[in-house]
Amino acid sequence: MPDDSRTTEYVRLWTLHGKSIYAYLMTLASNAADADEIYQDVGMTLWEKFDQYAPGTSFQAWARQIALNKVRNFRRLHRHKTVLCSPELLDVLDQRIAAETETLHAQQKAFVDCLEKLPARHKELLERRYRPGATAGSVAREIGRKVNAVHQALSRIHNALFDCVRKATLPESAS
Amino acid sequence: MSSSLPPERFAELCELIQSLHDQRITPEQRARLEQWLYEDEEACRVYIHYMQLYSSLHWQMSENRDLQPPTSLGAPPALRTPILGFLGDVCRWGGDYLSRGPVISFLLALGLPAVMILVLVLHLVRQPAMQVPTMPSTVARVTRTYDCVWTEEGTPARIDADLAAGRRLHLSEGIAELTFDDGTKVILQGPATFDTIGRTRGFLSSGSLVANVPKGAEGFAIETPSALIVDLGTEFGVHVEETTGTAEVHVFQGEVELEPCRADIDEKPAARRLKAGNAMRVEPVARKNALPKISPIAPAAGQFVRQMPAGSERPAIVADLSGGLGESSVDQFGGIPGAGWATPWAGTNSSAIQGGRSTRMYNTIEVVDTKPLRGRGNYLRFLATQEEQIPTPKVTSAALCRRFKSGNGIDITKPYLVSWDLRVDELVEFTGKYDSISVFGDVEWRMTSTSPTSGWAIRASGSDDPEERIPPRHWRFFDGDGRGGYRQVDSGIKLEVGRVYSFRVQVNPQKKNWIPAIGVDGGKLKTFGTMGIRTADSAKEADYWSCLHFGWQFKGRQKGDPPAKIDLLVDSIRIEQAEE
Repeated sequence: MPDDSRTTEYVRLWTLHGKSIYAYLMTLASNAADADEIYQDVGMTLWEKFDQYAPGTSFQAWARQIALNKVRNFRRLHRHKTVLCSPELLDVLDQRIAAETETLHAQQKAFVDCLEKLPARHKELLERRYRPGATAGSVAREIGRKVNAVHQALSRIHNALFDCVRKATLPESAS
Repeated sequence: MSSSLPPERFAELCELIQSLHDQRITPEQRARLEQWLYEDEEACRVYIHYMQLYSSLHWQMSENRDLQPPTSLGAPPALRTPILGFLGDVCRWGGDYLSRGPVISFLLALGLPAVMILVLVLHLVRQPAMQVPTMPSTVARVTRTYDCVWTEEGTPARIDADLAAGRRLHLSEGIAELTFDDGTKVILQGPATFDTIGRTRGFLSSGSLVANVPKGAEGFAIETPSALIVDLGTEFGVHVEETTGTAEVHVFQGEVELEPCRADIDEKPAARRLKAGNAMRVEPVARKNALPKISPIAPAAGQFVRQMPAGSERPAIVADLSGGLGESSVDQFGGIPGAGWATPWAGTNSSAIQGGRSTRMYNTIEVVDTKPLRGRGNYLRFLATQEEQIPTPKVTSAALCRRFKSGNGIDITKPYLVSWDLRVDELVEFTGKYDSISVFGDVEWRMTSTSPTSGWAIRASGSDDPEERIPPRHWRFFDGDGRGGYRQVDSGIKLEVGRVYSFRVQVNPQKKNWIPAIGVDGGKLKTFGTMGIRTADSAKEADYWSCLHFGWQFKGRQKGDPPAKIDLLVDSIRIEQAEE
């Protein structure tokens, strides 16, 4: 078992990389419910195996490898739930994410500013939708609108955010 | 939008990604998205950026994300965090990753100088770009079906359908044969749910299948909820219970590797080898850290369909004429190109058929269903009349043709079968050797019947020539010499009015030969010997003799000769792949 200093180190690393790993899992699992479940599992496994992690090497790469294995296992066990399911595509995504690390990091930072720029009612809708356990259907019931209308409104907000985040992180020459 | 994709493509991609994230995507849309992501780097990038956005939204908007580090040894942090529902909100602990003051404070409090954090981050983010593998667009095909009822959403699978990676098949009834790119044949027994994962892999969620893996394709794998079965060169059956996910594996020939799934570890679990005659049951792990329950069971080869039943439907290029006359679909006469047909029927325009006033040959072509050749449905009727002609030519002839091509599950560069049913309801003055009906494959449309460019040909003629060794009206084959010449071979089967003749011609383009077969009135087909192709050209140069002709010919009618007439009916025209 890891000792105190290792525990501290683990917390530091997981704090540093947890969000990136969550984003990684979301990309591979494609929905929050599955990403949440796998994320929890990854956190436990990383902790259990932390003795095997060689300090000074890339924690993120190590964590991603374990996360990728977890996604593969999850695919087998919860086949009915997974959506992107070919192992080849998982590999493609894994490699493409690695190639995009810098951009993704910048986008994570830009996201907060972009979110702030949204009108209050848009933020409120997002808050309702991304509350744990909420769905577009539950939001529709809450606010008394049709689910399709909620999908459409969310789609517009997502696209605006996507646009803002992407533009904010374009290379200078391309902007 | 900030993407190099055209706006409408970008909008479509975003819609697919949103549907995927919201878990309201259809299997068809999913397959399309997967394919798109394989093939298009920008689409893949958009997908990753979009998912990152979703991740940020979930992360940012969810509550209860406070950092809760472990406080004692032996307790994984994830177990110490509050659980919301069965998923738990534990994933939220960790805060906002560098962007939040408390995290920086926490890290600094750990004694990590800001410079070190920066160096660490820079080190982590500078990972070299890797080469992205590409995926084939199609990983398997539905090659044969037997009484299949598909119940999947979107476009159901059907005979000859190409299956992309990630395609989910719901077969509620019947038996379907899938052929994977590596040559493995999977016989799926309905009810079953099966996903094509890749060129060498599938996932059986429920139901039964038999996989027959040819030599060279070892490593083909079937995943199930409870086990992975990897072939080591063999034939095996798998059954998965829908409700429990329990899998049974029965090995008929060769050997397989059985790898039970475990939920709690990353390493490959211990695999076992099963030999011919062995069978095992694997029950899925019910909870974390549990071991899968594996038990030997009695082999039950009898519960699996190991061969497609006789009469199974195979992929085919078909002219079914269900659309009647018209030029808006492939199922019509003249029709349009598509479904394996390279052209509409040639000769639908009456002026295009040799004949008309100059030769006083009158052709009527129609699609009717009044007296089907077999069963029911539409068939083609060619009614040709030849009146006296002055001056009198030696012969007049006409032919309809339609060109087929590789596609629809058929590769015409490999041996293929051409089949059709034919009946003649009226033959008037069909007495001379130039009065004839011919069916043949040629390089191009021949209005004037067979020629040295014909590959294979079958003919029946009035045959009044005393030197002819073949009796009148007997179906005869053109046994080509590969130089444009031929000899005629008697089938011994006579063309009689009112009888239905079923023809099948197997063409082997590489070997430049063909094998005819004829059945009468639904009886068994009689197969004849191997004939040569007539053409001097290679199969490729001759376009694999892909212009299928139905032609008729009359000798010239002199003044006072009564009109000659042929009422020819054709149905069930199919081109299929021959077994090699």
